[in-house]
Amino acid sequence: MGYILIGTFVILLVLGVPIAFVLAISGFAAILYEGYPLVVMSQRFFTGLDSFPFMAIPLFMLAGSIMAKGGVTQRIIDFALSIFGSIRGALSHVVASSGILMGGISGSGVADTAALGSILIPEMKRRNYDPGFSAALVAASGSIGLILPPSIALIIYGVSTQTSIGDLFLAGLIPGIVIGIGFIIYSYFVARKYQYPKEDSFSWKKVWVSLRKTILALLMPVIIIVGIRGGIFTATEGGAIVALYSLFLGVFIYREIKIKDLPKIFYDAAISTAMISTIIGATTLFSWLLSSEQIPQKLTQSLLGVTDNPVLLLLIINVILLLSGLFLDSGPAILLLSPILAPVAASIGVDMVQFGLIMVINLTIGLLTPPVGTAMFVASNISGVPVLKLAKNLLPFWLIMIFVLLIITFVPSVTTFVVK
Amino acid sequence: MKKVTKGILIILYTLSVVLMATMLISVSLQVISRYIFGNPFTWTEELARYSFVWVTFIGMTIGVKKGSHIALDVLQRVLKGRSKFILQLINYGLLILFSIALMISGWHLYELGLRQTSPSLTLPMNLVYSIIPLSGLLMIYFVITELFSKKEQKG
Repeated sequence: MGYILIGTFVILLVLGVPIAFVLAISGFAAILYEGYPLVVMSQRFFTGLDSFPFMAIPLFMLAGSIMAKGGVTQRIIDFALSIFGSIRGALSHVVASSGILMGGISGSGVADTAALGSILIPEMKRRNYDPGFSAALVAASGSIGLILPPSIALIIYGVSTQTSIGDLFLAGLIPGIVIGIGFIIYSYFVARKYQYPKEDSFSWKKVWVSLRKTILALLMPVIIIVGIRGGIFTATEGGAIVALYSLFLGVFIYREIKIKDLPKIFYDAAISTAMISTIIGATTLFSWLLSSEQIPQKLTQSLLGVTDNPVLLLLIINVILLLSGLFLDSGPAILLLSPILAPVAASIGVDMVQFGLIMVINLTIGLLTPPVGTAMFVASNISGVPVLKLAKNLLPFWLIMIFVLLIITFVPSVTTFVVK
Repeated sequence: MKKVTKGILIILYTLSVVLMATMLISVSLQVISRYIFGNPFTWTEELARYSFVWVTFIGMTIGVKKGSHIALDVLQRVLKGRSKFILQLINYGLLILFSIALMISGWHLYELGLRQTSPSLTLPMNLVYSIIPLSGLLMIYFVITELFSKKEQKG
């Protein structure tokens, strides 16, 4: 059955069938082959979704959707501009720093890329930045949202490996910010080389004025982390609270959302949720069939049989994750690979929080690589820069992320300090 | 045909908005009831979970209509002309296959649900499960109408 399952999976994936249906149809084929009752298919699908922790996904999606319409993106950009305006290549630093701040509010790296790109790519074009560089920077900076709390990828990982989502969120903070700072430093060198413009003189007054307009939105990540870690609410409840809070900000404080806009906002969040949760349901079916044949366990064993050198094993794990990220989106990759790789990591003493970050950073790089880098495609669509040219411009950003990834991999204390 | 499709989409749109709002309200109530009333409501979690399941199946169906599901579309972009058309046909065929399987499988689950009620809301489980065969049916409808509109454009 293993061959049917994996064979169908590969063929359908290559044919371009949506990944959710690739998983479901392969599962269907395996069910027919084994003669299992067909009801198993919808039963597994249902069980996978019937989970309270996973509901953090729709609620954080909703919060992100409300924020995007509520004028928060523009306020964050203004705030970043007040800080970096006087530095050479100001707009590029605005992109990277807004990426960090937006990442702390929304759970999806792709949504952040779209939000940042639609405002900043035209702006950078107007100021004669190289289009390839601008698009690459936007894609990379938006993607950090997948590492920073509240991250959909970390939620999926937390649920599927039963690791504390609060711990994961806190641990994601430092790598996310460090990667963003890496982007700022790189952009500074690019800006000096090409003499990119400054925008505005620096004044504390401007920083203060724009900070006052943004501060309520910037409080969001603090509410999330303090609330979840402090045991005040669960991650899912945190999602609801943050969604209510952003609704309050958007409607009453920033006054950019009218009551009649709400249905569309809720609808958008429902659709983006379903694109992820359909995959979760289908993967639940697929992995149930895989584990009924003990396939993940066998793969774990054979990986452990390759070598018992922990450094080598960690490198192998990273390579496997990086390669899977080329073809799979973060959700299915986490759900399919964590049952195989997490036991390997655990056997060499890697903490599950640390491993979660290793996984998610690898898959974030996958957002920026052909052939399925979703963030890359979004940036390419907005900017009109062809994907291959964009990929070339992304190379330095990959290197920065890989550098941070290696630190996370080999210096456990960077992430494990959060574990109580 | 167009009117029917539009009608279905409006119903699905409305349902997904209502269900998202239900999720938001019931999870919020759960926190509020715990801190303000001291004893949390028990039905909120269940209601939210089933809304999530429904949003997923409804959104999956709309996603098929709008072509918004994530796919590895390298082959689609490389091929041209006739071979691209055949590839699209194969993909539509596979989607219909999936939808039929989901519909039948979901129907079996619906039948199992006739004898069950949910633990806290005591909802009949067949009602909860009913969205599964229904979304299978709607996806078949969407794929077939899509095929016809493609054919019309060609002819």
